[in-house]
Amino acid sequence: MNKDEIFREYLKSENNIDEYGYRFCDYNLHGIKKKFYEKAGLSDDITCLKLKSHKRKARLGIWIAASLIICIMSGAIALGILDVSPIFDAIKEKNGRLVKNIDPEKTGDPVAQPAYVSKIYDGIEIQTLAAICDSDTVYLYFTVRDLTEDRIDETILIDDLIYILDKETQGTCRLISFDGETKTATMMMTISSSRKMLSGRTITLIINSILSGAEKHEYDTGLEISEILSGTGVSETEVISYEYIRYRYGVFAQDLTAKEYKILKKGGLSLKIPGLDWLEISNIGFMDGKFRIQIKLDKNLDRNRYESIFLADPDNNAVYQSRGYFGFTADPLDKTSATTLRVSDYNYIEYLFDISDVKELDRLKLVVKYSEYERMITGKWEDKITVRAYAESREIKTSISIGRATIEKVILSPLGVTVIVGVKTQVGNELSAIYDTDLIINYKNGGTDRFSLWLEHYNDNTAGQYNLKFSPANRLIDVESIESITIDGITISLGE
Amino acid sequence: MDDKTIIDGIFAKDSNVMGSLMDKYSRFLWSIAGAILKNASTEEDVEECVSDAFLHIWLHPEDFDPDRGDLKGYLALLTKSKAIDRLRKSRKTAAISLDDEIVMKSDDILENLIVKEDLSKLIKSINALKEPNREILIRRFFFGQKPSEISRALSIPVRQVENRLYRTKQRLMQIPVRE
Repeated sequence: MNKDEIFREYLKSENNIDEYGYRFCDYNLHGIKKKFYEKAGLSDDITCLKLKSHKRKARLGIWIAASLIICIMSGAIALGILDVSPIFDAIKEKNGRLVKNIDPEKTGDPVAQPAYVSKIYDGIEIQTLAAICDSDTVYLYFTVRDLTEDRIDETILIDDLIYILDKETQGTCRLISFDGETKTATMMMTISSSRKMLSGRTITLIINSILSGAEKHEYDTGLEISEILSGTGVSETEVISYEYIRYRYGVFAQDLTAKEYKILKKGGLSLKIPGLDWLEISNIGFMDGKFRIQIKLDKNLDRNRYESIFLADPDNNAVYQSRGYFGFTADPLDKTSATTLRVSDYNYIEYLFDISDVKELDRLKLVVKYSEYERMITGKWEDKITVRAYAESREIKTSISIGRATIEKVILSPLGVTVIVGVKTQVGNELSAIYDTDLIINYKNGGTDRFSLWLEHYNDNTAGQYNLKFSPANRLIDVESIESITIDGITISLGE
Repeated sequence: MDDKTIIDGIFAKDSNVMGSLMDKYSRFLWSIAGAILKNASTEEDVEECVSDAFLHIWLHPEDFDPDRGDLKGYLALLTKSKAIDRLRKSRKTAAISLDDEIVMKSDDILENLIVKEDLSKLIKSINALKEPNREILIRRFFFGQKPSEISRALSIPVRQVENRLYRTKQRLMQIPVRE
């Protein structure tokens, strides 16, 4: 018997082959069909008809528990004035061009490589501009332009966005500039991965809806916190594993070594907010010396998009903002490599406030921040982009202590500096000093550069390890010219 | 839908039949191509391999010989072949190293020992192997991957792959294949 005959027989047995390769998802079936129909020269109507349901499954199947990330939003970004031309110029200088519509079979661009031409639906054009990565982060830039009307503005929100890369990633997408004359919004996606070797990987980007024409609201719920508390008694708690956690943020949510999180019991309360039928208080109370409010978001938000809550005095002045929060789901998250960015898919958010005494809540009321959008434009913009590293990263191992945390590694790349911090014991605020400090790069020629924390990424695969990325986000760094870095007053020399 | 109906449909160039075929076997073929290309290529490449296998049957349904086995097995071999081609192309390593050649020769020994009646015993023995020994053997024997390629796919040292392969084959050759 030859090997092929044996192989055929072997496949009829109970085997484990499906565990040896990549996980199969619905979008892979879509990809296989799409490629087949293209090569066979057949209409892909069948594929297109099924595409919507496949995407929905991918979105609901969303992501990971193994890896959590948040992006720190700088004031400049929030105002939409980040000038990204330096990073574009750098890519252009190296690559000779920024955008090239190429035959995906003939790959070879060293840096930025949009695979297909721009996509237009309902008069809205989405065009990938550039993509660049280092060992742990991808920056991807694209524009959204209205070719026929005036529906895009500076309040644009890429609402239903799915990207497909790895299950151990998380990302954000935000406006970085808006040109009113050409009605063009430039967006920046940041994707962080706990795996390495991002260079050469292909990202599939799928956008199903865009919102614009936002009116921002700070909605006075009229609900006094102390009154709610007096009617609820002692709050029950529960423990959830990290498989339920979608994201977390802030120094109060830094239970770095934990595989389980204690929260207020999910849905222990169901208090509707008068006038906001898409949001309810699902629990409230004190736990471990901190005041907590847990909210539940309805998936059907219509054109309202939730942002945050705060506690205000009777004159609507913000008194307490939360110092950390968890976003989690009712069911454990499926581990797929398709990731949604829609907050409304997160189900629950539990906010932690720096309040330990109920008296401090006296006369405080709950205010909800959200945006109400005038327009929703739907379509099926899709692109595949192969990302390339601009240059090699440089890695330096250290064992420098900052409080009870240890800087285990520093990785320098043209995109920025990743500081990998390990925390051996769970305490709470080990990284607060790093949160509040800038990272300084000291160049060999005597010059310096200063960056804020751009994003943080917690890798549950390596217990207690936290990746902190300091990046300018709009330009590249010359790694070879760096002599040392300084963080929280500690200088780390990079040697030769 | 049985194999004959599918092949008849393909001969008649009925794209709906192809849609059904892809629904039915994509996941299965993905597992084969995915195993071969893991850590060497992207998911995009795996999709390419599987779609190429479907394209082949669409363009050349006459190549399928029902007397030699079922359609599922035929598609599996097509996919395997395309994935190995892609792997080799991406590695650009046509030359076989001395170590690889030695291992390949010992594979032939194993292959020659098998006669049809002994097959079920061999398959049972393979499936009784512990991981990663089973995966290493399957990659080597069925997918024709070199130790260096297996090493890359499983992220374990080449020398360990070779040692495990040697011990596994010794063990399998102890089964009484010709009673």
